[in-house]
Amino acid sequence: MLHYRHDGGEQEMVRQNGHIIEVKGVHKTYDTGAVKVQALRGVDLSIKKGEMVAIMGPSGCGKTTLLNCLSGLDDINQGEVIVDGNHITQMSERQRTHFRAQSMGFIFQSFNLLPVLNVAENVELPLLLSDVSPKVARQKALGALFMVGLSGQENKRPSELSGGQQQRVAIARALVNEPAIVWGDEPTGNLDTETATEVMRVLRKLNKEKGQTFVLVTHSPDVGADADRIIHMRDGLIASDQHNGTTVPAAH
Amino acid sequence: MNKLFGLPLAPLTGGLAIVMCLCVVVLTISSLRNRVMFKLASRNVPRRPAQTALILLGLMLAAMLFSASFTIGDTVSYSIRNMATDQLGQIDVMIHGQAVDAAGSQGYFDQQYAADLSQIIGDDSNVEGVAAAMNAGMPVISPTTELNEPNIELWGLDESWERHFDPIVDSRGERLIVADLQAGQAYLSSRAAEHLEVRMGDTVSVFTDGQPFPFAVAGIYSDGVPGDEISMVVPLAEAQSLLGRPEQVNLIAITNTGNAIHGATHTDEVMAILEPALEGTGLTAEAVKQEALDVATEAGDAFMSVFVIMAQFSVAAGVLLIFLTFVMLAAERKTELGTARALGTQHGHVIRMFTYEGAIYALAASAIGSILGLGIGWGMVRLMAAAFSQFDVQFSFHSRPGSLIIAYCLGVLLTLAVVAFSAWRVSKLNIIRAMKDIPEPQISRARDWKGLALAVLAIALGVLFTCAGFSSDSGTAYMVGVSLAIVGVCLLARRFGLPDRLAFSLAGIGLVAWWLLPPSLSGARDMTRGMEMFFLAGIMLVLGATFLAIHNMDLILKAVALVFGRVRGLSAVLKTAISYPMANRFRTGAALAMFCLVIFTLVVMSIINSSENSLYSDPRRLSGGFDISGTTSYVNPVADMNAAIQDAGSIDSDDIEAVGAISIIALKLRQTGTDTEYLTVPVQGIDDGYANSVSYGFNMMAEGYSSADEVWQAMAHQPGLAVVSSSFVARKVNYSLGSSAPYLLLDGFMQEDKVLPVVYVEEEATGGRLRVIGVLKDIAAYVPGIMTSQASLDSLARQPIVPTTYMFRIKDGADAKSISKGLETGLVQNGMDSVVIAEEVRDINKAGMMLNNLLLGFMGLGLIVGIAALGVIAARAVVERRKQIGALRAIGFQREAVQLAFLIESSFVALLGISLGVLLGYALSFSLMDTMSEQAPGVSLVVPWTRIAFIAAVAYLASLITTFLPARQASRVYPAEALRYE
Repeated sequence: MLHYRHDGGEQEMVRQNGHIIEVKGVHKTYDTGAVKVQALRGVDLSIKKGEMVAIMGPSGCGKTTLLNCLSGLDDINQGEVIVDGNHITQMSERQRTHFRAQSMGFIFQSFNLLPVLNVAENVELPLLLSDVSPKVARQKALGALFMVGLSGQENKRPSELSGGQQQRVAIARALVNEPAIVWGDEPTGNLDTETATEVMRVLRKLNKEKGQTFVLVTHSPDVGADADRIIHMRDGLIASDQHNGTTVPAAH
Repeated sequence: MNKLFGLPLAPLTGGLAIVMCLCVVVLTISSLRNRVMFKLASRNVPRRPAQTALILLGLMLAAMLFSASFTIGDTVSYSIRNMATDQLGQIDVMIHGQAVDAAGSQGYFDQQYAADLSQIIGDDSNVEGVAAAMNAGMPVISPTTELNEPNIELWGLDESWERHFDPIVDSRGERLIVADLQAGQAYLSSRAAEHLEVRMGDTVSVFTDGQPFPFAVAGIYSDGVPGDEISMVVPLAEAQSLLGRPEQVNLIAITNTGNAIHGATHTDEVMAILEPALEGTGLTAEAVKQEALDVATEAGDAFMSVFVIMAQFSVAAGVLLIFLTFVMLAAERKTELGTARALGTQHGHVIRMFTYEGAIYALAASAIGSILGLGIGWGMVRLMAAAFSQFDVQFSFHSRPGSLIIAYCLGVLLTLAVVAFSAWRVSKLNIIRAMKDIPEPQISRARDWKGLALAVLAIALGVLFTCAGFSSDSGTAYMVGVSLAIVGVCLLARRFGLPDRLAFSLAGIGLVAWWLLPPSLSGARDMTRGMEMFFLAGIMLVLGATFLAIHNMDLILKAVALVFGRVRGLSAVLKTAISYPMANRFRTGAALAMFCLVIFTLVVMSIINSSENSLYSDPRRLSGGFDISGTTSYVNPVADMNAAIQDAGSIDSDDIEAVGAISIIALKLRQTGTDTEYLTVPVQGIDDGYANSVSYGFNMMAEGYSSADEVWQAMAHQPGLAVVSSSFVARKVNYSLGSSAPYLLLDGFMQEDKVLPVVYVEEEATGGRLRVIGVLKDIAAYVPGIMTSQASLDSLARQPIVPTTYMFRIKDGADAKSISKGLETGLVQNGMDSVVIAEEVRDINKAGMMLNNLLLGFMGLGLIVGIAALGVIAARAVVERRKQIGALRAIGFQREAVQLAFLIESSFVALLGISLGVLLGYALSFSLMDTMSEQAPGVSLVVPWTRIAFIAAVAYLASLITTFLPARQASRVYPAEALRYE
């Protein structure tokens, strides 16, 4: 059984200021031996619970790296990342994985569904990982598929679905265990405009209904327009932070 | 070693080397003209070192198995040649008189013949020397130590022998001169001295006509005298006087120019002069050295063939592995191949690129395999030497360079052929699908003309083979024909709408049922069937089982998930693990088939070995109901064994229930009515005691005989009747390995005919005939040739043949060992040398078991194929599923869970393959018992479950070890990195 540090003070902080993600002075350097690439150069960021945040910027600016570091998929070299009151940088690899299974959902650009599993099996996988009984897992998976408008498709293989449908399966998978935060890396990147709009509509609806926090890395201005807040990045730093049309200069 | 599958080795080696060199030259020229393709191919080799190592491991197997088989053949051949030259020394040709015992050593003739012959051939440049000698088996006792040797080989040699043949030397290498021996002195071999525990100066007594003749040991030699290791030498005149044969000898030895082996090359020339010279003398010349060398070569070929045949299963699995490996390499590089094609690379370029890469692997893997095979051969020779050590057989490791060349060439060519085919197959990729890594679409059945053509071809070939099988009585053609038809019909039904699952399941069930059907039901009972049927049965059963398993994988997996899915925490892992094998049927099927094939052969071999072993549990079955066998000296025979036992005092005659006396002589015989060559056959003459007690049954009896007892009684009491060993009559069903040439093969009928037609054999010199009225069961191990009554044998040989072999049946509960000792002690003057049959059978069985285990171990090497296949698949899966692993890790799969999923996936394939192999092996063995019990009554199905469990456990553990590394690698995939490369 894994135990996370639920620091009373920080939980209190979340309650008081409503921040589910607190990032302080995060640095990330990729060392390939020959070259060192500074992907993040000291990022400070706070995201409120229930916010839908779009992280934008040119290729190579560090968006995906930031998402990976915030979600615990990647290590950081310096700084602090607190998610839902937990210092994920202080967690062991095993604890981080368990934390992801219980509190986070992921949506990827190329869906990353398991081609050998059918739609329902893909969706119920995070629940089975959390030791939910197969019967309950299947019920919840069907519920999640209903939410994303894919009822009746549960026995199909991913290859039998369109791109938009596959992304909706990925969304259902991301949301099925009711995570506090959903991370999306270019969730509409592989979709045509119409399907992308449809997917964003689903995400926005779920965000409103469930109050979950969405952090989406995107190139798409349409996705940005749908978000509560747009964070622009450049050269590993936050260049601007825009709230509902109001641009707030980034604090470096 | 001279031949491989009947093809002479020398031209085969040359031919294969030329073909291989041609392939290499063509590939080199082609690669020089397509440097870019060659560069791509060669740079792919070191790309993934672990995967390359696994590929090399799989590809080297064929060369390794060939090389090990050839090494064993070479060693056996070389060792038997060594034994022959040790036995015969410089003797190339032996001339003797008409034989009066099986060894042909007692036909005495005038010594003058030797001098006359020396005049005729002495000056020939092919002949080094001629010498007369006396040679007889005699009982010897040491009065001091009271130890005896019932049958020491006594040599009477003269000065001409010493001049032309090997010098007799002692352990210090000092020469012992026969002419230096005084009257009453003899030289003793070191082994004889050791057995009798005598030293120089001690006295030993030689018995002849019941009288002891003392000899002082004047020297102990370690080398220079041919024949047995237990021997003694006296001057020729002394031997003649001892045996009461003045001026007579029983042997003229000729040595050709050249050393012990090279001398044999002049044999034909020498025999050409000798045969006319001996005409009318009653003497016969035998090219003993050449014959021994031929036997050595044949034995080497037979041993090699056994191992090569057994290696076929592993080689077949290996071919599948090579194919699978290259298909997976192509899958791995699909995107880059697509890009290359988009940039203008032709189909031919892709084929060449893969063939270059395959050639690099083939050349390297076959070289490693050939050398490793040499090492394996060496290890197996050591084990063989241990198995045969109790029989005084010495194996000396030997490998000819030619054997290595042929193993290497076979390995390279086999790999190249499969690689070229795989390359052609993978070159037909669709550029866009390849670049975007989109799966190939299913071909619509209505437009699947290739599928239709294949189905029609299979049916047509099936009908053709079946008809050919019927007309030529060939079980192989018939069985394969029906199998093809079964597959063809199912494919045709699929083409016209039958669902895949049903079509392939029916084909699978059809094949399995067809090959497991007892021959009496399949209709193949009366057709000829050989060892190749075992090979084909293996391939077909495995093919059928693989069809069935692959097309019903979902049901198997559901059952697995139902059982293990309830285990807390295992549900998610299990779901992912078992879904992959189902999604990739070709890979799963290929790996499954490899495992299944190798385990199948191991299980069948284990069961057959254990079942055959059950025969040895009752030695009386093999000896015809007797417990002790004994031989007496020809010089001092026992006139009446029952009386001799009564008189001996050292045995309680009540302990002996029955005694059978057998006289034996080697005669030249052939089947009457044929114009074949007369062949030397041991003929045994039995007395009433033997006929009344023997329990051997018959495979065939002549018309008018309804029981074994009737045959034995008729043979004992009516003149001119005989029975023969089962090896004298061919059978349609012959699963024996290698060539064990019988003394004589009777023509015109087969054992399956049941009723023996009227058939006679005739003797060359006298023209006397014997009618064969029974063909013994295969278990009649103590009847090597023909058996008749003593009276019939005397009449056939035109002289009385004294019985020298005795078979004793003892009372239940009596101690065979002490009775055997008592017989030797009581009848020492008759040179009684007795053996407890149970002990002899146990020793033979022990050696046989060791040899079988060796063969089993050799076949077990094939497991490397299955294990390597799983390793290659797992290694490939890690690369292929990198992103999926990243996603799984992102959504919460722990490292251990990823690793476990990979291990479960491999375990599933390995365990399913192992289980199917065990099931099919058991089922086929069960079906084979039908034939086995008919040929060898008493044999029962014995399943060595412990051994099978051990084989399964080793196979499974080895597969786990190979998958462990890729699984660990998969668990170390860093999610952020795996997901970064979208």
